Amino acid sequence: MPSQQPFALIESGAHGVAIVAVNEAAAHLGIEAGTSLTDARAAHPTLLSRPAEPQKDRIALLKLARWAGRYGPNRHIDGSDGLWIDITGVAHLFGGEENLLDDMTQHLMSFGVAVQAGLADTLGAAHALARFGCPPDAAWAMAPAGETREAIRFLPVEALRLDAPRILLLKRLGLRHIGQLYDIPRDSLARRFRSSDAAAAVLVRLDQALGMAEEPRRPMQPPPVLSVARAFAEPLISSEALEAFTHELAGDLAAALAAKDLGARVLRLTFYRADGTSGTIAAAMSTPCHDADHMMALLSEKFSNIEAGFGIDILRLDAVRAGKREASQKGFTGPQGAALRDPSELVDRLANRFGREAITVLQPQGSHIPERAEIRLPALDVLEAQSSSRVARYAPPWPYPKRALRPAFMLSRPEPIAVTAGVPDGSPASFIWRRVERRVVRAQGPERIAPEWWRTLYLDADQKRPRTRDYYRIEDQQGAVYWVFRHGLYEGEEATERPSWFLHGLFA
Amino acid sequence: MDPRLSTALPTLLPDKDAVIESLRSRILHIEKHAPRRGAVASSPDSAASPPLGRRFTWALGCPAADDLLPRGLETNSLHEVKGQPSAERGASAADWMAGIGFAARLAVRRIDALAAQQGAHASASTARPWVLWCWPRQLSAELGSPSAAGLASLGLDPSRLIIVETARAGDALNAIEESLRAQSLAVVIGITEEAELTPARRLSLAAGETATPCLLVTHPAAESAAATATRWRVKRLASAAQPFEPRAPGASRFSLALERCRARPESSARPPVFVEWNDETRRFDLAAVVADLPAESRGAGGGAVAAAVRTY
Repeated sequence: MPSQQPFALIESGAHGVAIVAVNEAAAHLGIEAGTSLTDARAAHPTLLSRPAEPQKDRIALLKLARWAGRYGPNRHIDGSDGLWIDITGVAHLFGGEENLLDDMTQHLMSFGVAVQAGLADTLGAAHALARFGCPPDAAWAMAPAGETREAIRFLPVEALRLDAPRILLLKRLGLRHIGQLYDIPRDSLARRFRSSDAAAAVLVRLDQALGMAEEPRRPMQPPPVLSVARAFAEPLISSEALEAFTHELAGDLAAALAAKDLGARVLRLTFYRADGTSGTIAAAMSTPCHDADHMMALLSEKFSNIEAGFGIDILRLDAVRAGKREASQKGFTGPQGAALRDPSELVDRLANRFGREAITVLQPQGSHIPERAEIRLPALDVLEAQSSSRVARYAPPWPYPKRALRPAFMLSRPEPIAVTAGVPDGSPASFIWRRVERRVVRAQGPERIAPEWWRTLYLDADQKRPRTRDYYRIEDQQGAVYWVFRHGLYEGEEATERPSWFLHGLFA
Repeated sequence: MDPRLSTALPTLLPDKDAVIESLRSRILHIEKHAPRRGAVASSPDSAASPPLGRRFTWALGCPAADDLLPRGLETNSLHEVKGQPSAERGASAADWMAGIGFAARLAVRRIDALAAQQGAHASASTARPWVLWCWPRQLSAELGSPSAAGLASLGLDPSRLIIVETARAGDALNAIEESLRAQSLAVVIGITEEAELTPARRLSLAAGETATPCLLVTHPAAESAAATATRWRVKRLASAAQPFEPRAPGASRFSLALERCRARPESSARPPVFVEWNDETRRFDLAAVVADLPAESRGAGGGAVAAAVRTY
């Protein structure tokens, strides 16, 4: 849309089609948000209009907020048309606050965004400066540290984020500038504008702007435990450069973590591209880690996912989660010695490459039913739980007798087999499994495993009753040993259905 | 550790041994590796392989089988285990199980050897070493998933086992290699359909770097990998009689043929050895097979029996 052409965004409301936003050219003609389109058209027939799309605006603003993470991890959208960024401890990366503001406004303008920025000690003052304090020839206004009070003295009271009735009332009282409120006794301000709503309580908004009252902020993402960033004058394109700088960042982060006796649990590398887009890669660890090389090993697996685009001009590495790092000796005897290292680093690498679910460990469960007696859980989670608890974790005992003969491999679902037996409830004489008939040479059993009685208590009429299993360990003529069971009994209450045979496991 | 040295030194300072051993290993490492820098392509599986890893070996525990190997199984190598295919093409789950069962028992032997090697100064972390089990998902669907109770009755500690199940066969080889390089594991047991020359070679090199042995169980009917230190052909025999219950399957028996042995090539011509796994002593014993050989071996012209008699 050409900016010299007057243009407005419209929305149909209760009183007809109203203008919700105008461009610079339209503002010069005196068209304001809130007037009806018909009135504006009557005065300026050349006015162009399009329906407003607040949802899309919000999504675009959120995208911009994500991009704005390059100027500080704590940021979020502010109302329908603003962003706030906490740049505490970040400005030096850009060579000072002025340079940061220049960099940011130039970037935003290059995306085609009309921008006004304010920088101050408090969110309230920054809000006021951005919206009401920008000089006409500049894109930003800044209140130097500690000079907030003077910087916003001559701004209109609208800048205080108050609701319309309060502003009207203040103006009727002759209070047009924020500075005029400084001279009024606090008691009378508090008495006259007492409200539970901050937008109605003038004193609260004033105190927030001047830093005398706390103002809670909710950032887009929970702030990372520690964060390191690097900005580049020349955008990075080659993967080698990216890798080298990531390694440097990992070194910085590792040192920062080590200084606090912390170790990272979840890492996130965010890269901000020159064209205003951003992306992330993440890695998780089973034990708190402050080893730069290990961090790098995990991240470099995912470097192939990074799309550099027009180049990456800021890299930020966050320790999203961290844990207390226990000091530990990392091996002493050298590469050929006998000492084995902790497998947690290996688990991290494998889990990051093949997926968390692919690397598992066996854990006992409280049940005597063979398939329920154990469960496979992601090794990453189990090792993490083991390492994070300072008290020795109670490990439930493995729920089998020490000398129980159980197959080394259990089929995920018992497979039905056709069995010939000498007597109906005797051991099998031969069986057909996977279309091959096998003659049983030796058999041991039965080992009767009854269903868990507590599961049989509250069964609906249509639910199947769990049945008793008689397990046999049988060896065929080739020496292979199988674990088969007869599901159900020939006598008693289970006799309603004929028992069937299943193969449940293979002995190695 | 040189046995003479260990007996000569009093056990007053158990750490001293470890320190001396580590320093010596570093010196040897530097001496052997420094001139070879830049010539990495030279064959490390020949006599010039890293010297110290080679010194750590473990044995089956049965002299008849251990005699096939010059020094026992090397910890810095890849050992391939294959079942005997029962059909012309393809292999049944039982054929796989013979190889897997033998590999699992070799892993038990390796853990015991590691514990003995570390002896008195075994720390808490190394006293119960970790084992990694890696296979592609499709094999686990066919053979079932490892069960804690069953592995425990084989002699492996289920709480010290990491199971890796990958979506593709290539990923499994990749994961095995990564695990070998980590130097955190007593032994890596990998099960794959097949290992071609290049992946097997990579595994072999990775095992050599960290002296972590790799037991690779491959498809019984598939081509064999060439880059392995040993290749065992394993066949299940009828199990031993159980003393208290004659009809029950007893101790597992295997017929072992060493098809390939890089350190002693003439072993591949030797007839198979029949061994029996002892759950109590956690070792292989010579099987008294002649009396209760499986029916078909007895009927097959006595070739196997004759071989067995010759061996012992």
